Amino acid sequence: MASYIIRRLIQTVVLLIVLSFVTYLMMGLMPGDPLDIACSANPDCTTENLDQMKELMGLNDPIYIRYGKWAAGFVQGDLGYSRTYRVPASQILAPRVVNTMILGFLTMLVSLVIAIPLGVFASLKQHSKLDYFINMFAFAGISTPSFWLGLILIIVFSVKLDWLPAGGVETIGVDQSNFFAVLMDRIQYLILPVTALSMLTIASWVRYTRSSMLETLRMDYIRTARSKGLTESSVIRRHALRNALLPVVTVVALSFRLIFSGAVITEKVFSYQGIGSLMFDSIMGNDFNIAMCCFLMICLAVLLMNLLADVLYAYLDPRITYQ
Amino acid sequence: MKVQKKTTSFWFWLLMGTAISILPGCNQCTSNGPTASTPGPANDQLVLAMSQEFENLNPILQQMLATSYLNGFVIHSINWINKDWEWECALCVKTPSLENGLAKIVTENGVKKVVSSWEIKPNAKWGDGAPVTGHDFKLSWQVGGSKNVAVGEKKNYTRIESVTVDAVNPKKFTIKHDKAYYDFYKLSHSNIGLLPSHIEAPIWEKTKNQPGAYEKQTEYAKNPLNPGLYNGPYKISELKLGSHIIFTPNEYFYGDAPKIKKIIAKLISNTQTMEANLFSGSVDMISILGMTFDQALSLKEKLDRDPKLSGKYKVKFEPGLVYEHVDLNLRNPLLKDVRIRKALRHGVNVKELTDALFRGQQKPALHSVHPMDSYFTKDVEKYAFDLEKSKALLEEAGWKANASDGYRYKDGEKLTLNLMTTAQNKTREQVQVFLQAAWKKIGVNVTLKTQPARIFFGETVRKGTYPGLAMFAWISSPDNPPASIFHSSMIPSRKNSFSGQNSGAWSNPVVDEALDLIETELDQKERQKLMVKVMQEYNKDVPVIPLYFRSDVAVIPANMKNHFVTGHQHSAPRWAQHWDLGN
Amino acid sequence: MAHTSTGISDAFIASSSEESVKGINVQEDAVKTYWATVLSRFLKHKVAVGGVFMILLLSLLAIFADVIASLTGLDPSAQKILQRYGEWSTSHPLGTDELGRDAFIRLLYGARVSLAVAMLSAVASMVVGILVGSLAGYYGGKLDTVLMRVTDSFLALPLIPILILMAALDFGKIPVVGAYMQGDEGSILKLIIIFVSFSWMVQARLVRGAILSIKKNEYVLAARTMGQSDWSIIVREMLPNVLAPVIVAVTLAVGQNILFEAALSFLGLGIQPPTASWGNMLNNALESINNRPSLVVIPGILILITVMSFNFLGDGLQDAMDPKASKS
Repeated sequence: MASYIIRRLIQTVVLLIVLSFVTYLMMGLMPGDPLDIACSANPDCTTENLDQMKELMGLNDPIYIRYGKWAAGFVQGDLGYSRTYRVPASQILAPRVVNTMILGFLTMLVSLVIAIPLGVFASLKQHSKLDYFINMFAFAGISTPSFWLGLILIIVFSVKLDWLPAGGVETIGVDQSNFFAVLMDRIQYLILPVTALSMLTIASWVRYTRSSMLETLRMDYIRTARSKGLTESSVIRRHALRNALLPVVTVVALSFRLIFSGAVITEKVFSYQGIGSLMFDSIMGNDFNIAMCCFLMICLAVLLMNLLADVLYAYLDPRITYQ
Repeated sequence: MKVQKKTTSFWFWLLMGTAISILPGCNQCTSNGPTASTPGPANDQLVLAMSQEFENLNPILQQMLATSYLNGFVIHSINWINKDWEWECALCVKTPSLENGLAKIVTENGVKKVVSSWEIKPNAKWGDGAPVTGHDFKLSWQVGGSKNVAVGEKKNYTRIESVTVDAVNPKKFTIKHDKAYYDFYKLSHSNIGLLPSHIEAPIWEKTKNQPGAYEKQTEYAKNPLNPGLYNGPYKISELKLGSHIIFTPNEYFYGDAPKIKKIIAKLISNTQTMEANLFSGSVDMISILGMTFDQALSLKEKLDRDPKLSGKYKVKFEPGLVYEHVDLNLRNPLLKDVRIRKALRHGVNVKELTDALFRGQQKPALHSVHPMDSYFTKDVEKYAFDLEKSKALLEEAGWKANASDGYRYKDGEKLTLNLMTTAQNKTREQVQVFLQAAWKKIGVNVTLKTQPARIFFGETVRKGTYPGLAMFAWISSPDNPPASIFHSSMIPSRKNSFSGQNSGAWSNPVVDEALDLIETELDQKERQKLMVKVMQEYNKDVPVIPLYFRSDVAVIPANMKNHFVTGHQHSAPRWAQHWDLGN
Repeated sequence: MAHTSTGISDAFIASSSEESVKGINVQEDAVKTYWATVLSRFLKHKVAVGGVFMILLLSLLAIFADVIASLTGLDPSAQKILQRYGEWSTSHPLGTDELGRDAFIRLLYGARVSLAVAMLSAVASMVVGILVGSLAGYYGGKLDTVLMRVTDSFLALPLIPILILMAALDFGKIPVVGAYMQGDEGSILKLIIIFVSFSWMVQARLVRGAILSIKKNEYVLAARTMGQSDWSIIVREMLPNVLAPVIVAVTLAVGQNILFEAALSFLGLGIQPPTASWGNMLNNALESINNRPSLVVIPGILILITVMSFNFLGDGLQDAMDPKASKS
């Protein structure tokens, strides 16, 4: 097991390195940069000025040298300098990462709390009205464009009803010393994004839980347990649930990818100051270092969760042997 | 799965859902604003929103419009252009001129130079109580002129030969320019930023020999809450890049004490979210860098319809400096023919365009000079909207109309031009489609293309590689001759490594000569004459089809007093101490 | 390590992996009866049949958009500058948009682009997937290891950030290919290439698994001894057996691609105006979300319905083709 984990870790690191180089190359091929845009409408900003500025920022070196410099710095913890905000990248990134973590884990939590019971109920009441509605809901959930759902939520809950803020992370200027007030304030801002983001995960987990439960309920040992005269609820709790939820655990870990992917768009729709919206803005604004950091951080998080899922799966399912 | 039986009911519910979400459509939205009972913002706090990113506030390094807007709250420059589009002193006591004797022409080694004497207001102080002095200006000039610092308009710094601070009274200093430039008196932040030498000088000493080091070490990036960095009506009490800034009054400010106790500037990049925030009351005001023009128009209509809302907000339009136009690439053989250029110009009804798309709130442009600018002239060739004239010009150039498809042909070739502009700019895309339809009427086939701004400006316009027409904008600051745009030496090419911004490759000897003379012409009247000459040639040659001047739009609380939209680069926050929300 | 794969579509096909294919007999008659059973089972799945009808209806509307345009006299690019954001009326059934263009006819033309992009990408990624999967499965060894390692790596990536990054690049800079990426059709081609590049992996895995499981079967060995070429063995003997899960995966991929196209166009990175797609219509309508929500709501509903129909269809197909799953 340990050697399996180590091998997978090495694979992950290699993948990250390859990925960082490819991404760096690709971003390097993007034409223009914030300097060009800043200069674009200004008749007094000459091309010499531009070139000199680019020289100063090391933009005129060949791409592999720039990658080398960048990677060396990155490994030593120097994440580079944001050309958009003109401060060190770490200064920008830290709060963003925290925000996205909050959004991501909350989404995961909410999805779990909703999806698992729904899936289990649907499987227990197979063919019932409840099952039908849960199923339809799940289908709708995986078919809804998340950004559109976000927009609809804004129209309904912010613009029409004016119950919740339309976007942002927190009320600026809220009294930071009162922990409770800060918490309540942030929750207000999280409700809509979490709803929009969790729709997809809830829907796919419901489906997965339901089919996993149905499959388990057909197993011989469940029949045996029933024939031994155990009550239905204890059959389900002791035997069915436990076995059915095992594979769900890995699916949940793997869904991290969905959440982090989806967060880019959700954050954009709700102007949520997370790493996803930062990545988008920095790609569009060609803020190289920030874009690289965000992208790699998202990849790292996802790869680690994939690894965790694989290990969990291998651990939970005795049929798998790790070569 | 038994669920299948309920197919019909599923689709039914879906349709119902659709209906419900659509039906409460526009008719209701007017009533969704805040109710009349909600109190308006008061002097204790004002939240303003903007949609553009800002960077650290160092006045020399700043490149973004939003930064220069926000800087107005906290850092005053020596002087600036006021709301009447005239230069006026901010920190200085009197702007030097040859007439008032504070500036004079000296001749050194046969070169005419201008020397100007300046004095800073005695009570002008930084936020930690240190006085603003000539040393601050001298440091700023050194930093901005250094080859190790990246600054957009280096020329503003390098053309200054020396800065001498008075030994007795450091509030006094003299500037010597290396030539007798007429515009030696321009010392605003868009010319030269002003740094606090008591904080930044030690940092500069440490970093000046290292390329790119200063901008990473400047106190504005490291510790932006230091009050000593600011000399304006406000200082900064909280700053989160990509999110917001909180301004609180600066007790050492040299002018009147600010009335509003706290101003929060909030970045909301999604302009729709911004509008929703305005209606829900979490934003009180939208800055000129906030709404799209279209949004502002529909908001204005909404306000006009709903008295409850118009009691809350005012939408202000002010014709601005941003000059939207279509550049014609004169390298294109079709566009080399002046008859085609004139035909295109006669074929556009700019008045109809601005009326239809902007309800007349943005003004058609006659040429590149703004009507408020002192160089403006009406004495140029005019091109009325005239389809017949337009068609006649094309006929004359040999392009014959084909009855079957309505387009014009010559030697079997269809008269086709490509019109490019920036992607993601709704207004430009609308204008693009408008122009396509307009020119179809005179038989010109216009194909459309959009590119992301960074490609469009970074490559296409910069190198002049757009095949036919390119629509974009210049910011034509007042009193600023357009040498880098119109001079034929400024045609970007491989030879000059694409320096220069004459991307359409317009070359006119009369214009070249006038532009050469204007820079060192100290007589305002003579400069005026030269500029008129340039504009006359501009309208004779038609290297560009002028469209309109963009308007600046701001939404302010109805009870806000003393706020104005300047329309030029020196925006309203510079006078924020007068803003008043009291009743 | 088939379980590394994730994503929404994987959740559906999870149960239709290797084992299910084995149950299918390849004898000609059996094939006929198999497909007959599939059809009859599928027809019982009413929601899926509803999905098929919906898809057919939308496809017909999209295909005949030109005809509808000429019959109704509506033109997707004709703008009436003075009638921007027009109300619903008889001449403009769904009102007009920010340029005074008819929203209804644009939705039809948008359907054209959105469906075409989604379907073409799904089919193209199936081709790539089959190619990679059969090479890896049939030849095994080092080739298999390398191909599967690449597949795994691609599968592990966060999809939307990758798509955004790719879409933000200027493909016009790439020599040769770049020339085709210009202009209106350029953005469509570019989008298809991006989608295919990052969605072939599921198919590759499916095909590989299926081929591995039948490689040692007698009839494959027989074909080999009879001197059939590798390629013809793969195409004639093996691929028919993976058809079922591959079709299901393609169907689900179409739905996915519609969602991705919408998301990218919404961010301004997808189909470029003035060509209409559902995604960029949503993007355009954003400015008027407070005044005219219908311009935002309707394209979204259409996307929802279409994607749902494809998901229903995929679900129905899977139930019909996979005897094991259909018991539930």
